[in-house]
Amino acid sequence: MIYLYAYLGIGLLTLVIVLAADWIAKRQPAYAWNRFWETVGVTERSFWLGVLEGVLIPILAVLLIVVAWPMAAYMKVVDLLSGRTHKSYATQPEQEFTVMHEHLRERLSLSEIELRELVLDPLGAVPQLPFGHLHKAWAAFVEQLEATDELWSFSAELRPVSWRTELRAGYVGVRDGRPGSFFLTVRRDLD
Amino acid sequence: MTAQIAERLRYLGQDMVMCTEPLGDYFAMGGARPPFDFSCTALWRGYVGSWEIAGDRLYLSALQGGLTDGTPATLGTIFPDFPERVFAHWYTGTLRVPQGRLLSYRHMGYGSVYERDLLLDVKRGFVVSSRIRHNGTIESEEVAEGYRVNAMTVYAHVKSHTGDTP
Repeated sequence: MIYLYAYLGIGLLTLVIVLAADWIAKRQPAYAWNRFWETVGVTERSFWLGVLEGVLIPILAVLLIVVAWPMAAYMKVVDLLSGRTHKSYATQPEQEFTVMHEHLRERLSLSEIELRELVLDPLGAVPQLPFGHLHKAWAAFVEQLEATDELWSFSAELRPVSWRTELRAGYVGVRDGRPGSFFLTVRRDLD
Repeated sequence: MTAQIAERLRYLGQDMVMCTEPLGDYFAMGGARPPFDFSCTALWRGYVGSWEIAGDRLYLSALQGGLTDGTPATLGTIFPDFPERVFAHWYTGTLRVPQGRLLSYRHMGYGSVYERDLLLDVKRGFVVSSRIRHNGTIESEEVAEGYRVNAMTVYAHVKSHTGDTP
Protein backbone atom coordinates (compact mmCIF):
# COMPACT_ATOMS: atom_id res chain seq x y z
CA MET A 1 0.00 0.00 0.00
CA ILE A 2 2.86 2.34 0.81
CA TYR A 3 4.12 1.98 -2.76
CA LEU A 4 0.74 3.12 -4.09
CA TYR A 5 0.81 6.21 -1.88
CA ALA A 6 4.38 6.95 -2.97
CA TYR A 7 3.40 6.55 -6.62
CA LEU A 8 0.39 8.87 -6.27
CA GLY A 9 2.47 11.31 -4.20
CA ILE A 10 4.99 11.59 -7.03
CA GLY A 11 2.03 12.06 -9.36
CA LEU A 12 0.79 15.01 -7.28
CA LEU A 13 4.30 16.49 -7.28
CA THR A 14 4.45 16.11 -11.08
CA LEU A 15 1.09 17.86 -11.35
CA VAL A 16 2.39 20.81 -9.31
CA ILE A 17 5.51 21.05 -11.50
CA VAL A 18 3.49 20.89 -14.73
CA LEU A 19 1.06 23.57 -13.50
CA ALA A 20 3.94 25.79 -12.35
CA ALA A 21 5.71 25.43 -15.72
CA ASP A 22 2.50 26.36 -17.56
CA TRP A 23 1.96 29.35 -15.28
CA ILE A 24 5.50 30.60 -15.94
CA ALA A 25 5.05 30.12 -19.70
CA LYS A 26 1.83 32.14 -19.68
CA ARG A 27 3.55 35.06 -17.95
CA GLN A 28 5.66 35.63 -21.05
CA PRO A 29 4.40 38.41 -23.32
CA ALA A 30 2.21 37.19 -26.12
CA TYR A 31 0.26 38.69 -28.95
CA ALA A 32 -3.32 39.62 -28.18
CA TRP A 33 -4.79 36.62 -30.00
CA ASN A 34 -8.30 37.13 -28.61
CA ARG A 35 -8.64 40.33 -30.62
CA PHE A 36 -7.15 38.53 -33.61
CA TRP A 37 -9.93 35.90 -33.60
CA GLU A 38 -12.52 38.66 -33.78
CA THR A 39 -10.81 40.32 -36.74
CA VAL A 40 -10.67 37.09 -38.75
CA GLY A 41 -14.33 36.43 -38.02
CA VAL A 42 -14.02 33.51 -35.62
CA THR A 43 -16.71 33.76 -32.99
CA GLU A 44 -17.17 31.75 -29.84
CA ARG A 45 -20.58 30.11 -29.88
CA SER A 46 -20.62 26.59 -28.50
CA PHE A 47 -21.56 26.28 -24.82
CA TRP A 48 -20.97 22.52 -24.71
CA LEU A 49 -17.57 22.77 -26.39
CA GLY A 50 -16.68 25.39 -23.78
CA VAL A 51 -17.75 23.01 -20.97
CA LEU A 52 -15.78 20.20 -22.58
CA GLU A 53 -12.56 22.18 -23.05
CA GLY A 54 -12.90 24.36 -19.95
CA VAL A 55 -14.06 21.82 -17.36
CA LEU A 56 -14.04 18.17 -18.37
CA ILE A 57 -10.69 18.09 -20.15
CA PRO A 58 -8.80 19.86 -17.30
CA ILE A 59 -10.32 17.41 -14.75
CA LEU A 60 -9.35 14.43 -16.90
CA ALA A 61 -5.87 15.90 -17.41
CA VAL A 62 -5.35 16.27 -13.63
CA LEU A 63 -6.48 12.68 -13.01
CA LEU A 64 -4.28 11.40 -15.82
CA ILE A 65 -1.20 13.24 -14.53
CA VAL A 66 -1.68 11.92 -10.97
CA VAL A 67 -2.29 8.34 -12.09
CA ALA A 68 0.02 8.13 -15.13
CA TRP A 69 2.66 10.65 -14.08
CA PRO A 70 5.65 8.93 -15.73
CA MET A 71 4.06 9.57 -19.12
CA ALA A 72 3.14 13.17 -18.22
CA ALA A 73 6.66 13.82 -16.91
CA TYR A 74 8.18 12.42 -20.09
CA MET A 75 5.92 14.57 -22.31
CA LYS A 76 6.72 17.70 -20.30
CA VAL A 77 10.46 17.08 -20.53
CA VAL A 78 10.19 16.57 -24.31
CA ASP A 79 8.08 19.74 -24.54
CA LEU A 80 10.60 21.80 -22.57
CA LEU A 81 13.60 20.44 -24.47
CA SER A 82 12.08 21.20 -27.87
CA GLY A 83 10.66 24.64 -27.02
CA ARG A 84 7.06 23.87 -27.83
CA THR A 85 6.36 20.73 -29.75
CA HIS A 86 3.56 22.29 -31.79
CA LYS A 87 5.92 25.07 -32.85
CA SER A 88 8.49 22.62 -34.13
CA TYR A 89 5.71 20.85 -36.05
CA ALA A 90 4.69 24.10 -37.73
CA THR A 91 8.23 24.75 -38.92
CA GLN A 92 9.08 21.26 -40.12
CA PRO A 93 11.69 21.51 -42.87
CA GLU A 94 10.88 20.58 -46.44
CA GLN A 95 11.90 17.15 -47.59
CA GLU A 96 15.49 17.23 -48.78
CA PHE A 97 15.72 18.10 -52.46
CA THR A 98 18.85 17.83 -54.57
CA VAL A 99 19.32 19.04 -58.13
CA MET A 100 20.58 16.17 -60.29
CA HIS A 101 22.48 16.32 -63.56
CA GLU A 102 19.39 15.30 -65.55
CA HIS A 103 17.50 18.33 -64.17
CA LEU A 104 19.87 20.83 -65.82
CA ARG A 105 18.35 22.82 -68.70
CA GLU A 106 20.47 25.75 -69.90
CA ARG A 107 23.81 27.27 -68.99
CA LEU A 108 23.50 31.01 -68.37
CA SER A 109 25.66 33.86 -67.22
CA LEU A 110 24.91 35.80 -64.06
CA SER A 111 23.96 38.91 -66.04
CA GLU A 112 21.65 36.89 -68.33
CA ILE A 113 19.81 35.51 -65.31
CA GLU A 114 19.56 38.86 -63.56
CA LEU A 115 18.21 40.52 -66.72
CA ARG A 116 15.70 37.72 -67.21
CA GLU A 117 14.53 37.88 -63.59
CA LEU A 118 14.12 41.62 -63.24
CA VAL A 119 10.68 42.23 -61.72
CA LEU A 120 8.62 45.33 -62.50
CA ASP A 121 5.24 46.39 -61.22
CA PRO A 122 3.09 49.35 -62.34
CA LEU A 123 1.92 49.88 -58.75
CA GLY A 124 5.48 49.94 -57.44
CA ALA A 125 4.84 47.00 -55.12
CA VAL A 126 8.19 45.34 -55.73
CA PRO A 127 11.83 46.45 -55.62
CA GLN A 128 13.12 46.86 -59.20
CA LEU A 129 15.85 44.31 -58.72
CA PRO A 130 16.49 40.80 -60.01
CA PHE A 131 14.07 38.45 -58.19
CA GLY A 132 12.26 41.42 -56.63
CA HIS A 133 11.33 40.68 -53.03
CA LEU A 134 13.65 37.67 -53.09
CA HIS A 135 16.68 39.71 -54.13
CA LYS A 136 18.39 39.32 -50.75
CA ALA A 137 18.09 35.56 -50.95
CA TRP A 138 19.46 35.63 -54.52
CA ALA A 139 22.39 37.83 -53.43
CA ALA A 140 23.18 35.36 -50.65
CA PHE A 141 23.06 32.50 -53.17
CA VAL A 142 25.43 34.30 -55.57
CA GLU A 143 27.81 35.21 -52.76
CA GLN A 144 28.50 31.60 -51.85
CA LEU A 145 29.37 30.66 -55.46
CA GLU A 146 33.00 30.34 -56.48
CA ALA A 147 34.45 32.13 -59.53
CA THR A 148 34.76 28.88 -61.45
CA ASP A 149 31.19 27.71 -60.78
CA GLU A 150 28.81 27.51 -63.72
CA LEU A 151 25.23 28.72 -63.46
CA TRP A 152 22.48 26.60 -64.97
CA SER A 153 18.72 26.72 -65.00
CA PHE A 154 17.05 23.53 -63.79
CA SER A 155 13.63 21.95 -63.76
CA ALA A 156 12.62 18.82 -61.85
CA GLU A 157 9.49 16.84 -61.15
CA LEU A 158 9.42 15.05 -57.84
CA ARG A 159 7.07 13.38 -55.41
CA PRO A 160 7.62 14.86 -51.93
CA VAL A 161 4.77 12.60 -50.81
CA SER A 162 3.34 9.63 -52.65
CA TRP A 163 0.05 11.29 -53.70
CA ARG A 164 1.49 14.56 -55.04
CA THR A 165 3.76 15.50 -57.93
CA GLU A 166 5.57 18.78 -57.70
CA LEU A 167 7.51 20.88 -60.21
CA ARG A 168 10.56 22.66 -58.92
CA ALA A 169 12.63 24.99 -61.06
CA GLY A 170 15.29 27.61 -60.58
CA TYR A 171 19.02 28.12 -60.90
CA VAL A 172 21.84 25.95 -59.66
CA GLY A 173 25.57 26.34 -59.24
CA VAL A 174 27.56 23.58 -60.95
CA ARG A 175 31.03 22.91 -59.56
CA ASP A 176 33.36 20.43 -61.24
CA GLY A 177 30.47 19.17 -63.33
CA ARG A 178 28.26 18.49 -60.30
CA PRO A 179 25.13 20.49 -59.41
CA GLY A 180 25.30 21.90 -55.90
CA SER A 181 23.47 24.71 -54.13
CA PHE A 182 20.38 26.05 -55.89
CA PHE A 183 17.98 28.95 -55.89
CA LEU A 184 14.31 28.01 -56.22
CA THR A 185 11.98 30.10 -58.43
CA VAL A 186 9.07 27.71 -59.02
CA ARG A 187 7.43 25.21 -56.68
CA ARG A 188 4.04 24.08 -57.88
CA ASP A 189 1.77 21.08 -57.71
CA LEU A 190 1.23 19.30 -61.01
CA ASP A 191 -1.76 17.17 -60.00
CA MET B 1 -4.40 18.16 -38.10
CA THR B 2 -7.25 20.61 -37.63
CA ALA B 3 -9.06 22.33 -40.49
CA GLN B 4 -7.21 25.55 -41.21
CA ILE B 5 -8.41 29.15 -41.23
CA ALA B 6 -8.25 30.28 -44.85
CA GLU B 7 -6.46 33.20 -46.43
CA ARG B 8 -8.56 36.13 -47.65
CA LEU B 9 -8.89 37.24 -51.24
CA ARG B 10 -10.49 40.26 -52.88
CA TYR B 11 -11.31 39.49 -56.50
CA LEU B 12 -13.62 41.31 -58.92
CA GLY B 13 -14.83 43.53 -56.09
CA GLN B 14 -15.84 40.66 -53.86
CA ASP B 15 -14.35 39.35 -50.62
CA MET B 16 -13.64 35.63 -50.68
CA VAL B 17 -11.53 33.08 -48.86
CA MET B 18 -8.67 31.20 -50.42
CA CYS B 19 -7.44 27.73 -49.52
CA THR B 20 -3.93 28.38 -50.83
CA GLU B 21 -0.96 29.95 -49.05
CA PRO B 22 1.28 31.78 -51.56
CA LEU B 23 3.38 33.22 -48.75
CA GLY B 24 4.48 29.68 -47.90
CA ASP B 25 6.27 29.57 -51.25
CA TYR B 26 7.96 32.88 -50.51
CA PHE B 27 9.44 31.42 -47.32
CA ALA B 28 10.38 28.17 -49.11
CA MET B 29 12.25 30.18 -51.75
CA GLY B 30 14.46 31.94 -49.25
CA GLY B 31 12.33 34.85 -48.05
CA ALA B 32 12.93 35.60 -44.38
CA ARG B 33 10.24 34.11 -42.16
CA PRO B 34 9.65 36.01 -38.92
CA PRO B 35 9.10 33.96 -35.74
CA PHE B 36 5.33 33.69 -35.87
CA ASP B 37 3.67 32.79 -32.60
CA PHE B 38 1.68 29.61 -32.72
CA SER B 39 -1.44 29.72 -30.62
CA CYS B 40 -4.12 27.74 -32.38
CA THR B 41 -4.49 24.35 -34.01
CA ALA B 42 -6.49 25.95 -36.86
CA LEU B 43 -3.63 28.28 -37.74
CA TRP B 44 -0.40 26.31 -37.89
CA ARG B 45 1.17 28.97 -40.11
CA GLY B 46 0.64 31.70 -37.48
CA TYR B 47 -0.79 34.40 -39.74
CA VAL B 48 -3.68 35.21 -42.08
CA GLY B 49 -2.81 36.99 -45.32
CA SER B 50 -5.20 39.26 -47.23
CA TRP B 51 -4.70 39.10 -50.99
CA GLU B 52 -6.16 40.96 -53.92
CA ILE B 53 -6.09 40.60 -57.66
CA ALA B 54 -5.69 43.96 -59.36
CA GLY B 55 -5.68 43.83 -63.14
CA ASP B 56 -4.16 40.42 -63.68
CA ARG B 57 -1.68 40.56 -60.82
CA LEU B 58 -1.74 38.95 -57.40
CA TYR B 59 -0.90 41.21 -54.48
CA LEU B 60 -0.56 40.63 -50.76
CA SER B 61 -2.29 43.65 -49.23
CA ALA B 62 -2.32 42.89 -45.49
CA LEU B 63 -1.22 40.36 -42.93
CA GLN B 64 -2.48 39.61 -39.45
CA GLY B 65 -0.76 37.49 -36.88
CA GLY B 66 1.48 37.60 -33.85
CA LEU B 67 5.16 37.12 -33.17
CA THR B 68 6.76 35.18 -30.34
CA ASP B 69 7.91 38.40 -28.66
CA GLY B 70 4.29 39.46 -28.24
CA THR B 71 4.19 42.07 -31.01
CA PRO B 72 1.69 41.92 -33.88
CA ALA B 73 2.85 40.72 -37.29
CA THR B 74 1.92 42.93 -40.22
CA LEU B 75 2.89 43.17 -43.87
CA GLY B 76 5.69 45.53 -42.83
CA THR B 77 7.15 42.82 -40.60
CA ILE B 78 8.02 40.72 -43.65
CA PHE B 79 8.35 43.48 -46.24
CA PRO B 80 9.53 46.58 -44.32
CA ASP B 81 9.84 48.71 -47.47
CA PHE B 82 6.41 47.68 -48.78
CA PRO B 83 3.97 47.90 -45.86
CA GLU B 84 0.96 48.69 -48.08
CA ARG B 85 1.07 46.15 -50.90
CA VAL B 86 3.39 43.47 -52.23
CA PHE B 87 3.39 42.01 -55.74
CA ALA B 88 3.50 38.21 -55.35
CA HIS B 89 5.84 37.66 -58.31
CA TRP B 90 7.29 34.53 -56.67
CA TYR B 91 4.05 32.60 -56.83
CA THR B 92 3.29 30.09 -59.55
CA GLY B 93 0.42 27.71 -58.96
CA THR B 94 -3.34 27.48 -58.63
CA LEU B 95 -5.35 29.48 -56.12
CA ARG B 96 -8.36 27.57 -54.83
CA VAL B 97 -11.36 29.65 -53.80
CA PRO B 98 -14.18 27.51 -52.31
CA GLN B 99 -17.69 28.70 -53.11
CA GLY B 100 -21.24 27.67 -52.30
CA ARG B 101 -22.40 25.35 -49.57
CA LEU B 102 -20.42 22.74 -47.71
CA LEU B 103 -20.74 19.25 -49.23
CA SER B 104 -18.37 17.37 -46.97
CA TYR B 105 -16.52 18.57 -43.90
CA ARG B 106 -13.01 17.29 -43.19
CA HIS B 107 -11.32 18.47 -40.03
CA MET B 108 -7.92 18.52 -41.66
CA GLY B 109 -6.08 21.21 -43.59
CA TYR B 110 -8.18 22.53 -46.46
CA GLY B 111 -9.80 19.14 -47.06
CA SER B 112 -13.47 20.21 -46.87
CA VAL B 113 -15.38 20.11 -50.16
CA TYR B 114 -17.77 22.88 -51.22
CA GLU B 115 -20.22 23.05 -54.12
CA ARG B 116 -17.75 24.86 -56.36
CA ASP B 117 -14.09 25.81 -56.49
CA LEU B 118 -12.96 28.89 -58.35
CA LEU B 119 -9.49 27.96 -59.59
CA LEU B 120 -7.15 30.77 -60.58
CA ASP B 121 -3.98 29.75 -62.38
CA VAL B 122 -1.12 32.07 -61.53
CA LYS B 123 2.25 32.25 -63.23
CA ARG B 124 4.93 34.34 -61.54
CA GLY B 125 2.30 36.54 -59.91
CA PHE B 126 0.13 36.94 -63.05
CA VAL B 127 -3.33 35.37 -63.22
CA VAL B 128 -3.26 33.58 -66.57
CA SER B 129 -6.57 31.71 -66.49
CA SER B 130 -9.57 30.94 -64.31
CA ARG B 131 -12.14 28.17 -64.24
CA ILE B 132 -14.91 26.80 -62.04
CA ARG B 133 -14.84 23.23 -60.77
CA HIS B 134 -18.27 21.86 -59.86
CA ASN B 135 -18.07 19.38 -57.01
CA GLY B 136 -21.79 18.70 -56.62
CA THR B 137 -24.86 20.30 -55.08
CA ILE B 138 -26.70 19.95 -51.82
CA GLU B 139 -30.49 20.06 -51.54
CA SER B 140 -30.82 21.09 -47.89
CA GLU B 141 -31.41 24.80 -47.31
CA GLU B 142 -30.16 24.39 -43.74
CA VAL B 143 -26.53 24.27 -44.77
CA ALA B 144 -25.18 27.81 -44.89
CA GLU B 145 -22.89 29.07 -47.62
CA GLY B 146 -19.31 29.89 -46.80
CA TYR B 147 -16.04 28.45 -45.60
CA ARG B 148 -15.95 27.14 -42.05
CA VAL B 149 -13.69 25.67 -39.42
CA ASN B 150 -15.81 23.74 -36.95
CA ALA B 151 -13.48 23.57 -33.97
CA MET B 152 -10.02 24.52 -32.82
CA THR B 153 -7.96 24.61 -29.67
CA VAL B 154 -6.37 27.91 -28.71
CA TYR B 155 -3.19 27.75 -26.63
CA ALA B 156 -1.54 30.30 -24.33
CA HIS B 157 -4.62 32.45 -23.75
CA VAL B 158 -6.77 29.39 -23.23
CA LYS B 159 -10.09 29.93 -24.91
CA SER B 160 -12.29 27.47 -26.74
CA HIS B 161 -13.60 28.39 -30.12
CA THR B 162 -15.87 27.00 -32.69
CA GLY B 163 -17.30 28.94 -35.52
CA ASP B 164 -17.35 30.18 -39.04
CA THR B 165 -14.73 32.10 -40.89
CA PRO B 166 -15.91 34.40 -43.63
